[in-house]
Amino acid sequence: MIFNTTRRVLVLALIGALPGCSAAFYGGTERSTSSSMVDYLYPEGERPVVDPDLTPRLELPLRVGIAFVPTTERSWRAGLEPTEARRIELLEKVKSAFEGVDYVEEIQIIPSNYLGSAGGFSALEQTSRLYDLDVFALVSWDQVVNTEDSVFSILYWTIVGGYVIPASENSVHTMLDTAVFDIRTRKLLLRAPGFDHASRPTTAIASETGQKRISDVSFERAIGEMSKNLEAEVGKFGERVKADKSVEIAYSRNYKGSWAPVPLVVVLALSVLWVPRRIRRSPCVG
Amino acid sequence: MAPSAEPRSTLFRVRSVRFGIGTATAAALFTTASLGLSDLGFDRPAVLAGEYWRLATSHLTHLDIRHAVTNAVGAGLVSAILLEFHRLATVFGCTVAIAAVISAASLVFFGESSYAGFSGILYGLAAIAVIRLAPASPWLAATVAIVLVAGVVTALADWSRPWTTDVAVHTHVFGFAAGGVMGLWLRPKPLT
Repeated sequence: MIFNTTRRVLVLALIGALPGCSAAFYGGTERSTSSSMVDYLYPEGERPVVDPDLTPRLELPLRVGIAFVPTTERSWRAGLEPTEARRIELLEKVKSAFEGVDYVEEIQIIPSNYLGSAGGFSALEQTSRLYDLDVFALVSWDQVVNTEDSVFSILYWTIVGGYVIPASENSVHTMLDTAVFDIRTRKLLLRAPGFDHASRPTTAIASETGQKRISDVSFERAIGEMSKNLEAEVGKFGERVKADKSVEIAYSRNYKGSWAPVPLVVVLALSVLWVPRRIRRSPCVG
Repeated sequence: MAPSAEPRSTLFRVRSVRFGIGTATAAALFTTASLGLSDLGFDRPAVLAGEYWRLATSHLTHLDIRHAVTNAVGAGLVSAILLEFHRLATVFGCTVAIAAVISAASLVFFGESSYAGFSGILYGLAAIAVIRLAPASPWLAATVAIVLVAGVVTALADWSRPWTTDVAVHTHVFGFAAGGVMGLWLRPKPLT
Protein backbone atom coordinates (compact mmCIF):
# COMPACT_ATOMS: atom_id res chain seq x y z
CA MET A 1 0.00 0.00 0.00
CA ILE A 2 2.78 2.36 1.01
CA PHE A 3 4.75 1.22 -2.06
CA ASN A 4 1.78 2.00 -4.33
CA THR A 5 1.37 5.46 -2.83
CA THR A 6 5.08 6.22 -3.28
CA ARG A 7 4.95 5.00 -6.88
CA ARG A 8 1.92 7.22 -7.60
CA VAL A 9 3.69 10.24 -6.13
CA LEU A 10 6.80 9.54 -8.20
CA VAL A 11 4.79 9.15 -11.39
CA LEU A 12 2.90 12.39 -10.71
CA ALA A 13 6.16 14.19 -9.92
CA LEU A 14 7.66 12.94 -13.18
CA ILE A 15 4.63 14.05 -15.14
CA GLY A 16 4.78 17.40 -13.39
CA ALA A 17 8.51 17.76 -14.13
CA LEU A 18 8.26 16.96 -17.82
CA PRO A 19 6.70 20.26 -18.89
CA GLY A 20 9.34 22.09 -16.88
CA CYS A 21 12.02 20.04 -18.58
CA SER A 22 10.66 20.79 -22.01
CA ALA A 23 10.28 24.44 -21.07
CA ALA A 24 14.01 24.45 -20.47
CA PHE A 25 14.41 23.69 -24.17
CA TYR A 26 11.26 24.99 -25.75
CA GLY A 27 10.45 28.66 -25.97
CA GLY A 28 12.04 31.86 -27.34
CA THR A 29 14.79 34.11 -26.09
CA GLU A 30 15.83 37.57 -27.21
CA ARG A 31 19.18 39.24 -26.76
CA SER A 32 20.07 42.67 -27.93
CA THR A 33 22.93 45.12 -27.99
CA SER A 34 22.95 48.73 -29.03
CA SER A 35 24.80 51.99 -28.77
CA SER A 36 22.85 55.16 -29.24
CA MET A 37 24.36 58.11 -31.06
CA VAL A 38 21.84 60.53 -29.55
CA ASP A 39 22.35 59.26 -25.99
CA TYR A 40 26.11 59.59 -26.42
CA LEU A 41 26.14 63.04 -28.00
CA TYR A 42 23.39 64.48 -25.81
CA PRO A 43 23.73 62.75 -22.43
CA GLU A 44 21.22 63.30 -19.63
CA GLY A 45 18.56 64.70 -21.90
CA GLU A 46 20.75 67.54 -23.17
CA ARG A 47 19.08 69.34 -26.06
CA PRO A 48 20.90 69.76 -29.38
CA VAL A 49 22.01 73.34 -29.92
CA VAL A 50 22.98 73.93 -33.52
CA ASP A 51 23.16 77.40 -34.98
CA PRO A 52 21.55 77.17 -38.45
CA ASP A 53 23.44 80.25 -39.61
CA LEU A 54 26.80 78.69 -38.85
CA THR A 55 28.27 77.15 -41.99
CA PRO A 56 30.77 74.34 -41.53
CA ARG A 57 34.19 75.33 -42.85
CA LEU A 58 36.31 72.38 -43.87
CA GLU A 59 40.02 72.88 -44.47
CA LEU A 60 41.07 70.36 -47.07
CA PRO A 61 42.59 67.87 -47.02
CA LEU A 62 40.62 66.52 -44.06
CA ARG A 63 41.81 64.47 -41.14
CA VAL A 64 39.02 62.04 -40.28
CA GLY A 65 38.51 60.07 -37.07
CA ILE A 66 36.34 56.95 -36.97
CA ALA A 67 35.04 55.32 -33.80
CA PHE A 68 32.24 53.16 -32.51
CA VAL A 69 29.90 54.99 -30.16
CA PRO A 70 30.64 53.61 -26.68
CA THR A 71 27.88 51.54 -25.07
CA THR A 72 26.34 53.32 -22.12
CA GLU A 73 25.20 50.27 -20.10
CA ARG A 74 25.83 46.55 -20.08
CA SER A 75 23.01 44.08 -19.70
CA TRP A 76 23.52 40.55 -18.40
CA ARG A 77 21.38 39.39 -21.33
CA ALA A 78 23.60 41.18 -23.81
CA GLY A 79 27.18 39.98 -24.25
CA LEU A 80 26.87 40.36 -28.01
CA GLU A 81 28.66 43.69 -28.52
CA PRO A 82 31.96 43.32 -30.37
CA THR A 83 35.18 43.45 -28.38
CA GLU A 84 37.48 46.45 -28.80
CA ALA A 85 39.86 44.42 -30.97
CA ARG A 86 36.98 43.30 -33.18
CA ARG A 87 35.66 46.87 -33.41
CA ILE A 88 39.01 48.09 -34.70
CA GLU A 89 39.04 45.23 -37.19
CA LEU A 90 35.55 46.21 -38.40
CA LEU A 91 36.44 49.92 -38.57
CA GLU A 92 39.25 49.06 -40.97
CA LYS A 93 36.48 48.28 -43.45
CA VAL A 94 34.83 51.65 -42.82
CA LYS A 95 38.21 53.31 -43.28
CA SER A 96 38.37 51.90 -46.80
CA ALA A 97 35.33 54.06 -47.69
CA PHE A 98 37.47 57.19 -47.19
CA GLU A 99 40.63 55.88 -48.77
CA GLY A 100 41.19 57.20 -52.25
CA VAL A 101 39.05 60.26 -51.55
CA ASP A 102 41.33 63.02 -52.71
CA TYR A 103 40.20 65.54 -50.11
CA VAL A 104 40.90 63.20 -47.20
CA GLU A 105 44.45 63.33 -45.92
CA GLU A 106 44.36 60.82 -43.10
CA ILE A 107 41.88 58.46 -41.45
CA GLN A 108 42.43 57.59 -37.79
CA ILE A 109 40.68 54.71 -36.07
CA ILE A 110 39.90 55.80 -32.52
CA PRO A 111 39.33 53.19 -29.80
CA SER A 112 35.94 53.67 -28.08
CA ASN A 113 37.50 54.14 -24.66
CA TYR A 114 39.14 57.36 -25.94
CA LEU A 115 35.71 58.92 -26.35
CA GLY A 116 34.96 59.08 -22.66
CA SER A 117 32.05 57.49 -20.85
CA ALA A 118 30.42 60.85 -20.02
CA GLY A 119 29.85 61.47 -23.72
CA GLY A 120 28.78 64.67 -25.36
CA PHE A 121 30.39 66.83 -28.01
CA SER A 122 32.91 68.07 -25.46
CA ALA A 123 34.36 64.54 -25.20
CA LEU A 124 34.41 64.36 -28.98
CA GLU A 125 36.21 67.72 -29.19
CA GLN A 126 38.84 66.61 -26.67
CA THR A 127 39.56 63.47 -28.67
CA SER A 128 39.68 65.49 -31.89
CA ARG A 129 42.26 67.83 -30.40
CA LEU A 130 44.30 64.86 -29.24
CA TYR A 131 44.34 63.32 -32.71
CA ASP A 132 44.25 66.63 -34.62
CA LEU A 133 41.04 65.76 -36.45
CA ASP A 134 38.76 67.91 -38.57
CA VAL A 135 35.72 65.64 -38.77
CA PHE A 136 34.52 62.66 -36.77
CA ALA A 137 32.66 59.61 -38.08
CA LEU A 138 30.70 57.90 -35.31
CA VAL A 139 29.35 54.41 -35.84
CA SER A 140 26.35 53.35 -33.77
CA TRP A 141 24.58 50.00 -33.86
CA ASP A 142 21.44 48.18 -32.86
CA GLN A 143 21.28 44.41 -32.97
CA VAL A 144 18.61 41.94 -31.85
CA VAL A 145 19.16 38.18 -31.81
CA ASN A 146 16.06 35.99 -31.40
CA THR A 147 16.11 32.27 -30.73
CA GLU A 148 12.87 30.38 -31.41
CA ASP A 149 12.46 26.65 -30.97
CA SER A 150 10.71 24.77 -33.75
CA VAL A 151 8.29 21.82 -33.29
CA PHE A 152 11.22 19.44 -33.57
CA SER A 153 12.51 20.81 -30.30
CA ILE A 154 10.24 18.22 -28.64
CA LEU A 155 13.11 15.87 -29.40
CA TYR A 156 15.14 17.82 -26.84
CA TRP A 157 13.18 15.74 -24.28
CA THR A 158 15.41 12.87 -25.18
CA ILE A 159 18.41 14.87 -23.86
CA VAL A 160 20.52 13.48 -26.73
CA GLY A 161 18.26 15.47 -29.07
CA GLY A 162 19.47 18.66 -27.38
CA TYR A 163 22.94 17.84 -28.68
CA VAL A 164 22.17 16.61 -32.18
CA ILE A 165 18.87 18.11 -33.41
CA PRO A 166 19.22 21.67 -34.79
CA ALA A 167 15.70 22.71 -33.80
CA SER A 168 16.51 26.19 -32.48
CA GLU A 169 16.28 28.95 -35.08
CA ASN A 170 18.58 31.91 -34.37
CA SER A 171 17.72 35.04 -36.30
CA VAL A 172 19.52 38.36 -36.18
CA HIS A 173 18.65 41.89 -37.24
CA THR A 174 21.51 44.36 -37.33
CA MET A 175 21.50 48.04 -38.13
CA LEU A 176 24.65 50.15 -38.23
CA ASP A 177 24.79 53.83 -38.89
CA THR A 178 27.72 56.13 -39.53
CA ALA A 179 27.24 59.83 -38.91
CA VAL A 180 29.99 62.24 -39.89
CA PHE A 181 30.18 65.45 -37.85
CA ASP A 182 32.08 68.68 -38.31
CA ILE A 183 33.72 69.11 -34.91
CA ARG A 184 33.82 72.90 -34.88
CA THR A 185 30.19 73.58 -35.73
CA ARG A 186 28.86 70.21 -34.40
CA LYS A 187 26.91 69.85 -37.63
CA LEU A 188 26.03 66.57 -39.26
CA LEU A 189 27.74 66.45 -42.64
CA LEU A 190 26.53 63.10 -43.90
CA ARG A 191 25.28 59.73 -42.74
CA ALA A 192 25.10 56.23 -44.13
CA PRO A 193 23.31 53.16 -42.77
CA GLY A 194 23.96 49.45 -43.20
CA PHE A 195 21.50 46.62 -42.53
CA ASP A 196 21.70 42.89 -42.25
CA HIS A 197 19.28 40.08 -41.48
CA ALA A 198 20.23 36.44 -41.19
CA SER A 199 19.03 33.23 -39.55
CA ARG A 200 20.70 29.96 -38.74
CA PRO A 201 19.50 26.82 -36.97
CA THR A 202 21.48 25.34 -34.08
CA THR A 203 21.05 22.62 -31.48
CA ALA A 204 19.86 23.60 -28.00
CA ILE A 205 23.32 23.11 -26.53
CA ALA A 206 25.03 25.18 -29.29
CA SER A 207 22.42 27.90 -29.10
CA GLU A 208 24.55 30.30 -27.04
CA THR A 209 27.64 30.04 -29.24
CA GLY A 210 25.39 30.10 -32.32
CA GLN A 211 23.92 33.42 -31.22
CA LYS A 212 27.37 34.95 -30.76
CA ARG A 213 28.57 33.65 -34.09
CA ILE A 214 25.54 34.84 -36.04
CA SER A 215 25.79 38.19 -34.26
CA ASP A 216 29.45 38.61 -35.26
CA VAL A 217 28.87 37.57 -38.87
CA SER A 218 25.91 39.93 -39.09
CA PHE A 219 28.00 42.84 -37.76
CA GLU A 220 30.57 42.18 -40.44
CA ARG A 221 28.00 42.03 -43.23
CA ALA A 222 26.21 45.17 -42.04
CA ILE A 223 29.56 46.98 -41.86
CA GLY A 224 30.28 45.87 -45.44
CA GLU A 225 26.96 47.27 -46.65
CA MET A 226 27.38 50.43 -44.63
CA SER A 227 30.88 50.99 -46.07
CA LYS A 228 29.48 50.81 -49.61
CA ASN A 229 26.72 53.26 -48.71
CA LEU A 230 29.24 55.51 -47.00
CA GLU A 231 31.49 55.52 -50.05
CA ALA A 232 28.52 56.59 -52.17
CA GLU A 233 27.53 59.25 -49.61
CA VAL A 234 31.06 60.64 -49.48
CA GLY A 235 30.97 60.99 -53.28
CA LYS A 236 27.56 62.69 -53.14
CA PHE A 237 28.78 64.97 -50.36
CA GLY A 238 31.60 66.21 -52.60
CA GLU A 239 29.08 67.01 -55.33
CA ARG A 240 26.62 68.59 -52.89
CA VAL A 241 29.25 70.89 -51.45
CA LYS A 242 30.05 72.19 -54.92
CA ALA A 243 26.39 72.63 -55.79
CA ASP A 244 24.68 74.17 -52.74
CA LYS A 245 27.62 75.72 -50.84
CA SER A 246 26.25 74.29 -47.58
CA VAL A 247 29.83 73.78 -46.50
CA GLU A 248 32.58 76.34 -46.90
CA ILE A 249 35.74 74.84 -48.29
CA ALA A 250 39.23 76.11 -47.57
CA TYR A 251 42.30 74.49 -48.95
CA SER A 252 45.39 73.05 -47.35
CA ARG A 253 47.83 74.87 -45.15
CA ASN A 254 50.18 71.87 -45.04
CA TYR A 255 52.28 72.69 -48.06
CA LYS A 256 55.53 71.00 -48.76
CA GLY A 257 58.33 73.23 -49.91
CA SER A 258 60.01 72.73 -53.24
CA TRP A 259 63.46 73.85 -52.09
CA ALA A 260 66.68 74.28 -54.06
CA PRO A 261 69.29 72.50 -51.91
CA VAL A 262 72.16 74.72 -50.75
CA PRO A 263 74.85 72.49 -52.41
CA LEU A 264 73.06 73.04 -55.75
CA VAL A 265 73.12 76.81 -55.26
CA VAL A 266 76.84 76.59 -54.37
CA VAL A 267 77.84 74.60 -57.45
CA LEU A 268 75.73 76.83 -59.69
CA ALA A 269 77.51 79.84 -58.15
CA LEU A 270 80.86 78.18 -58.90
CA SER A 271 79.72 77.64 -62.48
CA VAL A 272 78.93 81.33 -62.80
CA LEU A 273 82.19 82.42 -61.18
CA TRP A 274 84.29 80.10 -63.24
CA VAL A 275 85.09 81.81 -66.53
CA PRO A 276 87.17 79.80 -68.95
CA ARG A 277 89.93 81.45 -70.95
CA ARG A 278 88.10 80.43 -74.06
CA ILE A 279 84.42 79.62 -74.15
CA ARG A 280 83.81 76.60 -76.29
CA ARG A 281 80.36 75.93 -77.49
CA SER A 282 78.98 72.47 -78.03
CA PRO A 283 78.39 71.78 -81.71
CA CYS A 284 74.94 72.52 -83.04
CA VAL A 285 72.77 69.50 -83.43
CA GLY A 286 70.93 69.11 -86.73
CA MET B 1 84.15 74.01 -81.78
CA ALA B 2 84.65 77.68 -82.40
CA PRO B 3 86.47 79.57 -79.67
CA SER B 4 84.88 82.71 -78.30
CA ALA B 5 86.53 86.05 -78.79
CA GLU B 6 85.03 87.49 -75.62
CA PRO B 7 87.55 88.58 -72.96
CA ARG B 8 87.10 86.95 -69.53
CA SER B 9 86.31 90.20 -67.73
CA THR B 10 83.53 91.05 -70.17
CA LEU B 11 82.07 87.58 -69.86
CA PHE B 12 82.17 87.77 -66.06
CA ARG B 13 80.52 91.20 -66.12
CA VAL B 14 77.78 89.95 -68.43
CA ARG B 15 77.14 86.94 -66.20
CA SER B 16 77.05 89.13 -63.07
CA VAL B 17 74.49 91.46 -64.63
CA ARG B 18 72.34 88.52 -65.77
CA PHE B 19 72.61 86.97 -62.32
CA GLY B 20 71.64 90.27 -60.66
CA ILE B 21 68.66 90.90 -62.92
CA GLY B 22 67.54 87.26 -62.79
CA THR B 23 67.74 87.06 -59.00
CA ALA B 24 66.04 90.41 -58.44
CA THR B 25 63.21 89.58 -60.84
CA ALA B 26 62.70 86.11 -59.38
CA ALA B 27 62.89 87.38 -55.79
CA ALA B 28 60.29 90.09 -56.50
CA LEU B 29 58.01 87.58 -58.22
CA PHE B 30 58.42 84.84 -55.61
CA THR B 31 58.02 86.99 -52.54
CA THR B 32 54.95 88.72 -53.97
CA ALA B 33 53.37 85.39 -54.90
CA SER B 34 54.17 84.03 -51.43
CA LEU B 35 51.65 86.46 -49.94
CA GLY B 36 48.87 84.34 -51.43
CA LEU B 37 50.24 80.90 -50.64
CA SER B 38 46.88 79.39 -49.63
CA ASP B 39 45.30 80.53 -52.89
CA LEU B 40 48.25 79.90 -55.18
CA GLY B 41 49.99 76.72 -53.93
CA PHE B 42 49.44 73.35 -55.56
CA ASP B 43 46.48 71.59 -53.99
CA ARG B 44 44.96 68.75 -56.00
CA PRO B 45 41.39 68.96 -54.65
CA ALA B 46 41.41 72.71 -55.26
CA VAL B 47 42.69 72.27 -58.82
CA LEU B 48 40.04 69.64 -59.50
CA ALA B 49 37.45 72.02 -58.06
CA GLY B 50 38.32 74.47 -60.83
CA GLU B 51 41.23 76.51 -59.42
CA TYR B 52 43.42 75.76 -62.45
CA TRP B 53 45.69 78.75 -61.93
CA ARG B 54 47.37 76.80 -59.14
CA LEU B 55 49.03 74.60 -61.80
CA ALA B 56 51.12 77.63 -62.80
CA THR B 57 51.27 79.72 -59.63
CA SER B 58 52.41 76.84 -57.38
CA HIS B 59 55.88 77.22 -58.92
CA LEU B 60 56.04 80.91 -58.11
CA THR B 61 54.57 81.02 -54.62
CA HIS B 62 56.77 80.00 -51.68
CA LEU B 63 56.39 79.03 -48.02
CA ASP B 64 58.27 82.04 -46.65
CA ILE B 65 60.83 84.71 -47.50
CA ARG B 66 63.82 82.42 -46.90
CA HIS B 67 62.35 79.80 -49.21
CA ALA B 68 61.61 82.44 -51.86
CA VAL B 69 65.07 84.05 -51.68
CA THR B 70 66.96 80.72 -51.80
CA ASN B 71 65.10 79.68 -54.93
CA ALA B 72 65.44 83.19 -56.43
CA VAL B 73 69.23 83.03 -56.05
CA GLY B 74 69.18 79.59 -57.69
CA ALA B 75 67.04 80.95 -60.52
CA GLY B 76 69.42 83.92 -60.99
CA LEU B 77 72.46 81.66 -61.14
CA VAL B 78 71.01 79.14 -63.56
CA SER B 79 69.67 81.87 -65.85
CA ALA B 80 73.13 83.52 -65.91
CA ILE B 81 74.58 80.23 -67.18
CA LEU B 82 71.80 79.34 -69.61
CA LEU B 83 71.57 82.77 -71.26
CA GLU B 84 75.08 82.20 -72.55
CA PHE B 85 73.84 79.30 -74.60
CA HIS B 86 70.18 80.09 -75.26
CA ARG B 87 67.99 83.07 -76.00
CA LEU B 88 65.81 84.47 -73.23
CA ALA B 89 62.68 83.21 -75.04
CA THR B 90 64.12 79.68 -75.15
CA VAL B 91 64.97 79.72 -71.42
CA PHE B 92 61.50 81.05 -70.67
CA GLY B 93 59.94 78.37 -72.89
CA CYS B 94 61.94 75.66 -71.09
CA THR B 95 60.76 77.03 -67.73
CA VAL B 96 57.12 76.86 -68.83
CA ALA B 97 57.54 73.37 -70.29
CA ILE B 98 59.22 72.00 -67.14
CA ALA B 99 56.53 73.61 -64.99
CA ALA B 100 53.86 71.95 -67.14
CA VAL B 101 55.50 68.52 -66.76
CA ILE B 102 55.74 68.89 -62.95
CA SER B 103 52.16 70.11 -62.61
CA ALA B 104 50.79 67.34 -64.84
CA ALA B 105 52.74 64.72 -62.87
CA SER B 106 51.51 66.18 -59.58
CA LEU B 107 47.93 66.11 -60.81
CA VAL B 108 48.08 62.56 -62.13
CA PHE B 109 50.35 60.75 -59.69
CA PHE B 110 50.50 62.68 -56.43
CA GLY B 111 46.98 63.16 -55.10
CA GLU B 112 47.97 63.92 -51.55
CA SER B 113 50.80 66.31 -52.33
CA SER B 114 50.42 70.01 -51.68
CA TYR B 115 53.49 72.04 -52.49
CA ALA B 116 54.84 75.42 -53.38
CA GLY B 117 58.19 76.44 -54.81
CA PHE B 118 60.38 76.88 -57.88
CA SER B 119 63.01 74.25 -57.21
CA GLY B 120 61.43 71.57 -59.41
CA ILE B 121 61.92 73.94 -62.37
CA LEU B 122 65.37 74.82 -61.02
CA TYR B 123 66.37 71.16 -61.16
CA GLY B 124 65.22 71.04 -64.77
CA LEU B 125 67.07 74.21 -65.79
CA ALA B 126 70.18 73.02 -63.94
CA ALA B 127 70.02 69.73 -65.88
CA ILE B 128 70.05 71.76 -69.13
CA ALA B 129 72.97 73.79 -67.76
CA VAL B 130 74.93 70.58 -67.04
CA ILE B 131 74.55 69.47 -70.66
CA ARG B 132 75.62 72.89 -71.95
CA LEU B 133 78.59 73.21 -69.57
CA ALA B 134 79.89 69.72 -70.28
CA PRO B 135 81.90 70.48 -73.47
CA ALA B 136 83.60 73.55 -71.95
CA SER B 137 84.15 72.24 -68.46
CA PRO B 138 83.46 68.54 -67.94
CA TRP B 139 84.55 68.71 -64.31
CA LEU B 140 82.21 71.53 -63.44
CA ALA B 141 79.35 69.91 -65.32
CA ALA B 142 80.04 66.61 -63.54
CA THR B 143 80.04 68.34 -60.15
CA VAL B 144 76.68 70.01 -60.81
CA ALA B 145 75.30 66.71 -62.12
CA ILE B 146 76.49 64.83 -59.02
CA VAL B 147 74.88 67.44 -56.75
CA LEU B 148 71.60 67.21 -58.70
CA VAL B 149 71.51 63.41 -58.63
CA ALA B 150 72.58 63.32 -54.97
CA GLY B 151 69.83 65.84 -54.16
CA VAL B 152 67.19 63.67 -55.80
CA VAL B 153 68.52 60.41 -54.28
CA THR B 154 68.87 61.74 -50.74
CA ALA B 155 65.45 63.37 -50.89
CA LEU B 156 63.92 60.13 -52.19
CA ALA B 157 65.55 58.25 -49.32
CA ASP B 158 64.12 60.88 -46.99
CA TRP B 159 67.55 61.88 -45.72
CA SER B 160 67.31 65.47 -46.79
CA ARG B 161 66.46 68.26 -44.41
CA PRO B 162 65.15 66.28 -41.46
CA TRP B 163 65.30 69.56 -39.55
CA THR B 164 63.02 71.55 -41.79
CA THR B 165 59.89 71.41 -43.91
CA ASP B 166 59.28 68.34 -46.01
CA VAL B 167 60.52 68.63 -49.56
CA ALA B 168 58.21 67.92 -52.47
CA VAL B 169 60.65 65.38 -53.92
CA HIS B 170 58.56 64.43 -56.92
CA THR B 171 58.86 67.97 -58.32
CA HIS B 172 62.66 67.56 -58.34
CA VAL B 173 62.48 64.16 -60.00
CA PHE B 174 60.12 65.24 -62.77
CA GLY B 175 61.84 68.62 -63.21
CA PHE B 176 65.24 66.95 -63.49
CA ALA B 177 63.97 64.38 -66.00
CA ALA B 178 62.17 67.01 -68.12
CA GLY B 179 65.23 69.30 -68.09
CA GLY B 180 67.53 66.43 -69.09
CA VAL B 181 65.37 65.60 -72.10
CA MET B 182 65.15 69.26 -73.14
CA GLY B 183 68.89 69.76 -72.73
CA LEU B 184 69.60 66.92 -75.13
CA TRP B 185 66.96 68.04 -77.59
CA LEU B 186 67.59 71.82 -77.68
CA ARG B 187 70.19 73.42 -79.90
CA PRO B 188 72.38 76.13 -78.41
CA LYS B 189 72.15 79.55 -80.05
CA PRO B 190 74.69 80.20 -82.79
CA LEU B 191 78.02 81.70 -81.73
CA THR B 192 78.18 85.45 -82.17
